[in-house]
Amino acid sequence: MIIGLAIFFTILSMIVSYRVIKGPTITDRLIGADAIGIFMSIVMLLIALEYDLYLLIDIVLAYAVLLFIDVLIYAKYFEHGELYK
Amino acid sequence: MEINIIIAYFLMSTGAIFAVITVLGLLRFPDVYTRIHAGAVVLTISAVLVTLGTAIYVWEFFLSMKVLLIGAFFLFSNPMATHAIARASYSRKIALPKEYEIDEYSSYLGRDKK
Repeated sequence: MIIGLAIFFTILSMIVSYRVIKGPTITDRLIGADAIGIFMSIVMLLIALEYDLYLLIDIVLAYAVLLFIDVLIYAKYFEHGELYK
Repeated sequence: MEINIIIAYFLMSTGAIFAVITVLGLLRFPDVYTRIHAGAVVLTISAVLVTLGTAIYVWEFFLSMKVLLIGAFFLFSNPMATHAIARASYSRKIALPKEYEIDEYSSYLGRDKK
C-alpha cells in the first residue's frame, strides 16, 4: 500500500513535468517545479515509512526548507530582475 | 490491523486523490493564474493530509512530532511561495489581458512603491 502510494506520486510528478517542459510562460514552469518538489518530499516520507529509514524524515525537513527558499529567491529574481536592490 | 493504520491509510488515500486533482488542474486549466490557484490550494491540502497520515502511521512521540512539523511547514510555506510567484508574475505583466474591467491590485502595488 505505502510503496504503491510512493510509485503513484512518482507517476504524478512525471505527468507534471509535462507542464514544466512545455509551459508557455515562466510562471507555469515555476509552479510545476514547486509541485514536483512537494511530490518528491512526499515520496521520500513514504519511503522512510516503508523501509524504516527514519533518517530520511530529517532530510525531508531540510528539503522542504530549501524548496521554500528556492522558490522565494526565484520569485524575487523574476520580479525585480536582480536579487539585491 | 490496528485502528491507527486504518486511519493513516484513509488520510493518505485522500491526499492522493487531492494530488490527482492538483495534476488535473495544472494540466487542464486555461490560464496562468488559475494554474497558480490549483498549485496553491489543493497541493497544500494534499501534502498536509499525507504528512498527517504518516504521523498517525508511525505513532511514536518524537517521530510523529517531527512529521507534524513538516506538515505545518508545508501548510504555511506553500501558499507564501505561490503568492510570491503570483505577485512577481503580475508585476512583470506575464499573460495579462490588454484592458480590464476592474484592476485593484495595480493601485495597491503603486501605493507600495511610494
